[in-house]
Amino acid sequence: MDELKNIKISGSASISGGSFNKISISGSGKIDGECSAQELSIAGAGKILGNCNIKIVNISGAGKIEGDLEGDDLRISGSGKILGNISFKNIKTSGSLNSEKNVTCDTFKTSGISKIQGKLKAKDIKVSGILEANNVESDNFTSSGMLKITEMLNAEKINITLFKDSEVGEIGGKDIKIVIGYNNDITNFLNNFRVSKKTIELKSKFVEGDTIYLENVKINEVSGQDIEIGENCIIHKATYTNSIKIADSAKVEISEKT
Amino acid sequence: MSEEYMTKKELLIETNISYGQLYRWKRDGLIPEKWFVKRSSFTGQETVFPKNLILERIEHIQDLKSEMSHEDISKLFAGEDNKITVEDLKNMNIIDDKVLEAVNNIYSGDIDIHIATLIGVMSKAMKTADINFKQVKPAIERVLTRQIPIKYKYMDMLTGDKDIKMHFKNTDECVLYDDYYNNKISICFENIRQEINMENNLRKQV
Repeated sequence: MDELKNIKISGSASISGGSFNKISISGSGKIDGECSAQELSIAGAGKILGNCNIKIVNISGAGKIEGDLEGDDLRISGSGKILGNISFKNIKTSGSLNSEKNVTCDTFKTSGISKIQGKLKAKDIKVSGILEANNVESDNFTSSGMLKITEMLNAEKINITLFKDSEVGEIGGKDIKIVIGYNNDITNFLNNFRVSKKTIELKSKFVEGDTIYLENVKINEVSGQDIEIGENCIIHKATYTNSIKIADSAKVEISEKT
Repeated sequence: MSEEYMTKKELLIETNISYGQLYRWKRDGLIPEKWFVKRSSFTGQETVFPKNLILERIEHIQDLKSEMSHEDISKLFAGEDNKITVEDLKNMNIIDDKVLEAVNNIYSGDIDIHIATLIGVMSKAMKTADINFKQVKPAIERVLTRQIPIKYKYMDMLTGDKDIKMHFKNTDECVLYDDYYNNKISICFENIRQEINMENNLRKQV
């Protein structure tokens, strides 16, 4: 096999697509078609107009890819906008990821902002920044950031620590745990002097799981086998098959055993 | 034909599975997403399922899950919600006319891919072993009344002078049969399933 070329754009240039070994863009570069490479790093402004198959992608500047992006490792510390589907083994973003379609991967970590307009599907998801998505599916889901999921979060284990107001359309899984992020004694104390009390909360229409533990949530309906409703919860209806525990400060309008 | 629906809670109680399992199966593609139908209710919204389809599917999954991985099961179900009409099957030329006639007598409405595959297998057996319809008729009736589980992947057909015998198996293992049967054919379900699926998809695109 021929040895693949390295491409380096450090001024402003545009090249046509093809197969490369390493592509590095530090100025303003444009790749005018499909490309495949071992490595891509964008430190300036890079734009790729076609589908890409690249093993390791590093975006620390501003990258825009107008096709599908596929590979092993995707790291974004700048801003990445991908218009097609993304499929990687590992995705790590500390900058901003903006995807207009679906994202599929094994591990997904975001400490920046990730906006996904389609579905995010992964084995492990860790969120410590902001995650916005339409649908999320995973085996393990851990979040200590802010969530905005329009339709559904579906995972085997869900661990959400609330630091910011979040909104999830529906939550479904086996073990679901939603807890408040910090000891909010000070906030509680300050709240006594405020006209409108403000605590951090997670809003959702449905939460369904086998074992559920909730704190600081506002939910229309909760159902599961064993439910424990902690402090500051406002719940319209809770149905359980095995056991339920409700904290004194929680408001549950209807609770039923089925 | 109006379909009957059941709510998620009714489903869990009736099948004795948990939310965790239901969602896991959904994630792994064992239950198609479009069966999760959103309907407005007095509490806002609820999810309902087409009753017959989902109950049958869960029964299948429970049967299969001890011996197969989720991935394999989802492959088995892939393309299954493509229902096939008897008319379409007739046009495919995979299945013998006489067999189809028998199908038409017992079964009305659309056929799912498993049944179609099994009928295809019977038909192929008939052609290759040169046996007549009367001999396979009881087997086809068993297929149509769902007495043969969908988990099988292969069938051996043994033909003797007077009778035939069918042996269903899961792997491509060799089975030794006694000399009484003078002809043995082995048929792989997957080929026929693919053939039917392909034809059916082509038909839909046209």
